[in-house]
Amino acid sequence: MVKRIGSQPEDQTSDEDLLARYRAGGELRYLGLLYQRYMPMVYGVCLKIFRDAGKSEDAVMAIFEVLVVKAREHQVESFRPWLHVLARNHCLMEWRKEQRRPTDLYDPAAIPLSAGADQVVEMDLPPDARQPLEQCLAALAEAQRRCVQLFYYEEKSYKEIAELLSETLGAVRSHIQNGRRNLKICLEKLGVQENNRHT
Amino acid sequence: MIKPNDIRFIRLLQQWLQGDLRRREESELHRLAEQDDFRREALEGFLNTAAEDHEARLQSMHEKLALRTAGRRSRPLWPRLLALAAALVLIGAAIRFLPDWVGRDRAPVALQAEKSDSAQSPAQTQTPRIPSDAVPEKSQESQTASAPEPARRRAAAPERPMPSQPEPIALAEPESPPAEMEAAETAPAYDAVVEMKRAAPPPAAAARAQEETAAASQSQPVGGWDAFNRFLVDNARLTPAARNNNVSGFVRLSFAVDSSGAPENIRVVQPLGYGLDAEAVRLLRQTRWTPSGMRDTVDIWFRR
Repeated sequence: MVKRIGSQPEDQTSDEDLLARYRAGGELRYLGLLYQRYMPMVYGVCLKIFRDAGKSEDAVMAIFEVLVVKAREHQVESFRPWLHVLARNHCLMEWRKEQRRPTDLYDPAAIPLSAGADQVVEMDLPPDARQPLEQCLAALAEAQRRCVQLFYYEEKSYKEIAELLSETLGAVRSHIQNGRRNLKICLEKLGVQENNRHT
Repeated sequence: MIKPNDIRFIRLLQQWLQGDLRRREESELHRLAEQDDFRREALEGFLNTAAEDHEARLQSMHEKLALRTAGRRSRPLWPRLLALAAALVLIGAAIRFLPDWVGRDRAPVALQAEKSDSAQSPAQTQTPRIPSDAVPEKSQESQTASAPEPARRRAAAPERPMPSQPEPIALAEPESPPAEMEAAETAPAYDAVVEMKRAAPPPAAAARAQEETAAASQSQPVGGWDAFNRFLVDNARLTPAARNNNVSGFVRLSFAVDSSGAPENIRVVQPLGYGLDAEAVRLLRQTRWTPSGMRDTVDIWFRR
């Protein structure tokens, strides 16, 4: 990301204000400023649907063009949710167009919104879970155990762990992800219940 | 302003992409995503996509957006091209047809101008018209609007997607209201002039013949009326008073032509005020005429 979002003076203007300025004079500059604020999030939504960075990048630019017209035509109460829906619908439409035949393997619209909750990053364990936890940790593959220990117990960042273990960033990420999942499975087998999920 | 949580979320996302993220920050990132649909879907997209240099992608997108939005307006190009094409067609038609019309209608104008002491409606005078806007392209179009052009108005109508246009702009713009008004008002003027000639009863035919003769001896601007009109269009300057008060109208000047073809003894027969009388005189002084031995009258229009 090019500049720190939130630190520029123009970031003090509300979404609706920027939108109004665009609608008044047709100057793309204002719409651009507005879109920049949400571009990473729009990109993320596209990634969710296309699962392809190149297509998602193209979609982000295409969505801006849609915005150029629609922001003029429609009176929008709240910009942010409207943009979200607009982006998602555009990507879904594009996705369907690209499908030569209907595919039952992957339908992005079918993914429930809460699918991301599978990504468990933290578990709130009761105090008596300590022993099972150590047991499960020991059962992990070495690479996974080391990464999980460094990340969770020693609060190291991914980058630092990669350097320490002479691994790539991607490898570290996957070690931590797999390690977490295996721990969870192991603990459940041992009958450990979490206090409450706030992942 | 942008939500502080969005700012924090995007910052943490950026850190995550760089690998510069610790356990607590990652928890915070996920917590922020959980709170909000837009953020949740966005994070899922990043998490579920194969490893990729997303940062470079985001950088590229920012650059593309900057290029796209650098000081440009959102109106698409094709209405302007359409307007340009329409204008060219009209200019061609005007060049083709205007000399005929001008020759015909000069006569009644010259006569009426002479009689300008009695109240004359502006519509009855065939006059070089100039809109007051400084933009040459627009003025050019409206100058050629002196030919009745309903087709042009129709072509112009769909080119106005946005209702408001607050500031005067140097870029070529699609058809503007002044030009449209120009077309609307010139058409009846021509009709009025033509009708007068046709409606005249036979006894007046003799008078008309005299008119025609008189017309033949009126001064002509050097280069023709086209050039004269074009000159006015290109050089007219509205005064601030006129602009502020939205002034529209004509200044009637009478003048003689000296041996070198320059206007002399210019008199303001019918003033308009707001400093436009002086402007009309200033403009006239720069034009050149073929002398006719008589005083001539010309109306110089200023239109918002």
